[in-house]
Amino acid sequence: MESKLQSGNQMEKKYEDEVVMSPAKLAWKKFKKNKIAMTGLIILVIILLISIFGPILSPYNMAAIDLTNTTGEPSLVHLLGTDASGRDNLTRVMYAGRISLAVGFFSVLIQVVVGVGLGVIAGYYGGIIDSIIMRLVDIFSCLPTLPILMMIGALMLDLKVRPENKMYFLMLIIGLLSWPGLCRLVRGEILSLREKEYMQAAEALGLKDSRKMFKHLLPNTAAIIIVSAALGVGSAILTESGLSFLGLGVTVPTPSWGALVQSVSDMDSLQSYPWLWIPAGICILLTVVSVNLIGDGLRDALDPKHNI
Amino acid sequence: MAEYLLQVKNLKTYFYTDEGVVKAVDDVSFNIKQGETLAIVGESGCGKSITAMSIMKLIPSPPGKIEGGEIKFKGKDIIKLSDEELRSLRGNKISVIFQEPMTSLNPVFSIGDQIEESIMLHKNISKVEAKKQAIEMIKTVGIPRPEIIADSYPHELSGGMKQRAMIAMAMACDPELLLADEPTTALDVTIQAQILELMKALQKKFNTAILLITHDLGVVAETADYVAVMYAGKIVEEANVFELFKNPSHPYTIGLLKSKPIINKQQDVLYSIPGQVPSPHHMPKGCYFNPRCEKAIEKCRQEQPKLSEINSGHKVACWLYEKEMEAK
Repeated sequence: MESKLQSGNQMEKKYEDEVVMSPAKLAWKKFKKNKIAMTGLIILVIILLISIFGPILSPYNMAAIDLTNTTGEPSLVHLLGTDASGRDNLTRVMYAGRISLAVGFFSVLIQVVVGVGLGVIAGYYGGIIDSIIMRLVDIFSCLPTLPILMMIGALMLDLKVRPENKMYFLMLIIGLLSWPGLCRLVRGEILSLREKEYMQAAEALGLKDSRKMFKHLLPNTAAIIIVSAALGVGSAILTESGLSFLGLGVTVPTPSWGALVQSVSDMDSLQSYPWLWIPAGICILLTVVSVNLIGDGLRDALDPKHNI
Repeated sequence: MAEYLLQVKNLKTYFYTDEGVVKAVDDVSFNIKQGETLAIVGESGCGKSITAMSIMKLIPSPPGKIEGGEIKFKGKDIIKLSDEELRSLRGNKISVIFQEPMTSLNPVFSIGDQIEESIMLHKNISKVEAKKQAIEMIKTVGIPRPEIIADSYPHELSGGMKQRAMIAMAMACDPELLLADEPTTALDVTIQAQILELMKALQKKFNTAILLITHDLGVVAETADYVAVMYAGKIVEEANVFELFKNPSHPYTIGLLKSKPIINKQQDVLYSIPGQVPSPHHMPKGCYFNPRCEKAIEKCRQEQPKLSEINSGHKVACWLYEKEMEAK
């Protein structure tokens, strides 16, 4: 009897030490074990920190022209040299990072808000609402992205949109053109989730539709949303860079990584001034690769059946 | 006559499918008093669960539709309530325990969150207070270390604990009517007994009426005050639990009781009612049970019997008791 009681107490004690892990914590624990994804995360954080704080610490103004020192080679004064107008290249690369990353993140934010919102509504209500939203998705995914972006780029040139405002247009347009994929994914998930018993239980509790949709169903789709958003950031940055490279996105004097690469468009400067385009190119490469690595890592971490 | 908490009268729930109309619940009537347990027994597919879901108006529509009858809860007809009024009833005055504890909890929320949600929704109190009540409720249903369990997620609990958590969720707002849709089917026998004990104890404590849906006659004997036996969408026999087990009258009920194994008796072959539940699209003429009934007479094949009283409080729908019915 005595010993039984004692073992009972021990049990109690063991229980008290028990830590309950939320799904987010569990995922983070798994993510941390994934070395490749962690490398991606570290690189991205470094790039983010440099882009955010670099320009503040830099002694140069990113738009300050110094005609006495154009296309200067990298030196101790200008670590990455200067461009054709004598602007400090390092400052410009860092500042460009702000713009490229902002375009990447915010266009994905728009994509997630629109895609997930419509996807949840379509999947939950079904019927005619679903049909209307899905036809809208069809229409949007038929639109050829590049020609439209080029048209809008040309339109912005025509309307004389100020260079620093162009990035907001870019965010909006990239975001609005890329939501259909996510919308489809989310709708598919919701379609199967809403038939689960716990949704019937939620109904039996007397919950409102909006609460059922966004409080009960949405968190169950978090995994696919997070993964596709992470991968979406990479492709949005690439799109922005491509457009700016073509001169249709962000333009001088506002820098973006794509625009910086574009500043070298002839064979001569390509060969003679590598410091003008290599840093920005590497930044694009590193960012997109690390974003994709993080996306893959998240996919594994959020999949309960996947053990590392 | 005492005031009934729930009066179901001539309830008809039909499903409109491509192959025709399925009368899942066909002209079913019953009453439940406060603090009492009514068990609905029957084979799979006889319309037990649909009856319970109709009371909550949780029938998927389309294809399902409540075609007629009334469901009076404290004098108000639930069928005519607006969505808003229904929502304030659901989970508050009437709540449900579902069949599958494994899948009836949302995997992304902690147990505590899910119990709190219904408390906050219906009781209009602060989150801190709701959390306290949720933990109190988890304790009431007999889960040890409630504070830790409140923060756990459904996958971390066993089936029995999940079912307890479901009961805690259902009982959190002190409902007056609890619909228990096969609450113990997914659990093993020892846990089953515990859960039934718990439900009885809670019933006493909160004076809740329970509508118990089950196919297990053992569970019925254990918990119910009244029993209604359903077959193919109709109630074929209704009596209090002692009367039904002592004096089963409908051949179907007799068959059900006979097909239970008896302890202390060597049985080589367990009795089973011959035949199968008729397809809902091709219901036999006359009494729905007649093709499987050993005592069927000619009249059974022609006319459908009505549920009538043969003894005080004992109703049967069977032509074999026509004389008793007339005598009454």
